[in-house]
Amino acid sequence: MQYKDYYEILGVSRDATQDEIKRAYRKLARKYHPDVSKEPDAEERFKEVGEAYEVLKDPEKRAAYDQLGSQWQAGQDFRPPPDWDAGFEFRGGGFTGAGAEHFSDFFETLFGAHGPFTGQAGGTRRSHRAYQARGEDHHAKILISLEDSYQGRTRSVQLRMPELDEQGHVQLRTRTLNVTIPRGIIAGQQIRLGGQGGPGLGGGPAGDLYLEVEFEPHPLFSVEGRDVYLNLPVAPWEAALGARVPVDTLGGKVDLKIPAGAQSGQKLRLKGRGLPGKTPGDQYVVLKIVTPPATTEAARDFYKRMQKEFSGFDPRKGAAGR
Amino acid sequence: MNSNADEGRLAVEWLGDDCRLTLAQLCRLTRLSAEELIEMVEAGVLDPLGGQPAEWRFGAPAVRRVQVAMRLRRDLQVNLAGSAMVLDLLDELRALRERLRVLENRD
Repeated sequence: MQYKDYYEILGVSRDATQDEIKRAYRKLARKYHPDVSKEPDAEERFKEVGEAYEVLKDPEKRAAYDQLGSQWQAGQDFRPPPDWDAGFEFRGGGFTGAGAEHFSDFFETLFGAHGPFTGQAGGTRRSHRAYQARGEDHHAKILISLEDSYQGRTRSVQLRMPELDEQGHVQLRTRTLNVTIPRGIIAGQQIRLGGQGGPGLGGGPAGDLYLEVEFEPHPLFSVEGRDVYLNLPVAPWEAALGARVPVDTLGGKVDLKIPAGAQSGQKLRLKGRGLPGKTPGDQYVVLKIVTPPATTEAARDFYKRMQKEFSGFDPRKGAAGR
Repeated sequence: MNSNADEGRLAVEWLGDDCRLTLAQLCRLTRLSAEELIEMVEAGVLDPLGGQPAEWRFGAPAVRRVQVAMRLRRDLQVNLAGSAMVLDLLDELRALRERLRVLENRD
């Protein structure tokens, strides 16, 4: 078990006032709240911050924690001294914070269900024992590819779930679920798996599992809602004269007609070739004119001839700053 | 809301475009009372189609919006009006991030 430095986690000194601790907690909770934060490890950090606050906001738990001494380093292998809580008078009543069952072993050992801080009032899990209750709903984000959504593929999804073993310790269990991705699902939407959430208590039904979908970055396409964007490099003569070129779509290659006189940055729409749905998305092909390099004498001569031929052409005509 | 029978034992339900939940269905999914959900409608967390609560139909984002609002209240003491604003801003942020990614990919 690793020692946790709750002061370091909240970024406060060991002699911080209760007000300072509260302010530091609120700030970090806003920063790492999984519904709001874009930090990749937001959920872990949010739990860690919540655990630290659970201890430091309570003067009794804080005093007991301080008693362990300040010589410990975060992450150091830790065993509580046998009489670490001697001399403290506890009112009973364990942690009350929601999600306390997801706290670390370190917390669990010091303040958990079997620790001295749980009196008659009980920790959350003990107080639930007497009732029959439906299990908690669980939530997770999953990354899928655009193709998964386009085709409605079945994906194997791995989730790490904290679970309580018979001794009441938190164990991380990896679950693998085969989930058929609904065709046309878009980022931010949810799939509900009935009865796949937390187990019920006292014979109650299990909760549900909600999976929120996000798209993995795609090597070719970017996506906005149901619309798909693809960059298409074209030669100057294809743009000027018009051409038919094969382009990738989520449904395979299609022939795209480039109109004569096309310009770089121009968007061509392939109707209904985006993600499927009641109103299917479109695919937009964004043209990018690529000029052949002038690395040979003949190529340079050719560009010079063009320059002469198009002597009246000013690409910056009407551009800002002119 | 589509159910997928091919999933074997897993009952998969897509809270997607076809989703048109009644108030009673949303109560069951979120385990909140009708009164609590009506409060959320009044605060702007939810924006159902239809006039009277009995006619209300909730679209795809409703379940997620309720869940986020409850977490924001529990974790950050955000009230319902504040949650409605956070949710709208998060939607806007998502749209802008997608737009940004599209534009960045052009270069």
